[in-house]
Amino acid sequence: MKAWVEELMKERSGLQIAPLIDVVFLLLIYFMVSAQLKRPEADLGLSLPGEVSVSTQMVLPDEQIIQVNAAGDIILNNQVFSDPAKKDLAQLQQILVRYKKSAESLQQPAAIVITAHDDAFHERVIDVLNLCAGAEIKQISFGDLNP
Amino acid sequence: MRLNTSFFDDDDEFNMAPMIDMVFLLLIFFMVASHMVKMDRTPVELPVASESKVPEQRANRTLITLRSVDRSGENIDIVMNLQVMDVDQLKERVESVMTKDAEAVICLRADRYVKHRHVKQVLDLCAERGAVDIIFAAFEADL
Repeated sequence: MKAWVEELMKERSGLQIAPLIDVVFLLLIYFMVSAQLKRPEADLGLSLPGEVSVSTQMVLPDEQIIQVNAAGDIILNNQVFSDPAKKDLAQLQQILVRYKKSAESLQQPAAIVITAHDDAFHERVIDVLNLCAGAEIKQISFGDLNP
Repeated sequence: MRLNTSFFDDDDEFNMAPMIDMVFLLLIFFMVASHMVKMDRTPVELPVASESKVPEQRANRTLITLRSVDRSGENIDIVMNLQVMDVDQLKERVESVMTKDAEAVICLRADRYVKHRHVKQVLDLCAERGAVDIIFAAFEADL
C-alpha cells in the first residue's frame, strides 16, 4: 500500500481541541472587555424637597426662578441661555455662584425653583440641576409653569 | 540511571479535559455575573452632568427607568424591575415600596430625550406617596 494511505488510516479521528479553546478564550476576553466598556452611571445627588403641589405655596426668602421653555432655552431674570452646545452655561454658572455667595453673606438660604415646560427635554432640566450642584445650591424645588 | 517504569510512561500527555472545564466555568460565571449586573438596568441614554458623582454605595435604592421610544420624547416606557408598566401600576409599586421603607431612595433614570411632563408626572406621584429622596441618574462625562 502507498505510504500516504497508510498515514491516513493511522491518523486519529479525535476531536480537535485547540480551536475549541481558542474560541472559548475569545469569548472570555470579549465578555471581560465588554464589562469594562460599560459607562458607570453617576448620581446628581441633590436633596430634593419633592415637588411642591400647586395648591401649597412654599414661601422662601429670596428664591430664584429658572425657567426652561419648550424649545429648551434656559431663562433666568430675562437672560436667555439657548446655545445647544451648552457653551453659554458657564456664564449662568457664574451667576449662580455669585447668587449663592450673596445669599450666604445675607445669611439666607440660596433657593432655586426650576419651572420647566412640559415639552422641554429632560436633558435641559438636568443641565440646570448640574449648574446648581456646581454652585453648591442645595435647596432646589420644581415648580409648575402656569400657562 | 534511567527510570523506565510504567508509572512514567503512561501519563506523559497533557490532560486537557479539566482545563476546558475550568475555562467553561469561567465563561459561564462571567456571563451570569454580567447578567446580574444588568438586572434592572435597562439601557437608556442618560443626560450628561459634569457635577454628578459615581456613588460607592448603590444598594437600597429603587430604580425607576423612563425610556424614550424615539427622540421626540413623546412616548415613553416606564420600566421598574425589568417590567414595563403604566402610571397606575407605578403608583402601586411606589406605594408598596414606601410602606415597606418610609426612607426609601428613588433613583430616576430618565432618558435625555424624555419630555419633562413625564418626569414631572413621576415626581408628582412619588411626592404624593412620601418619596422625597430622589436621585437623578446621569453620565459623568461625554464619551
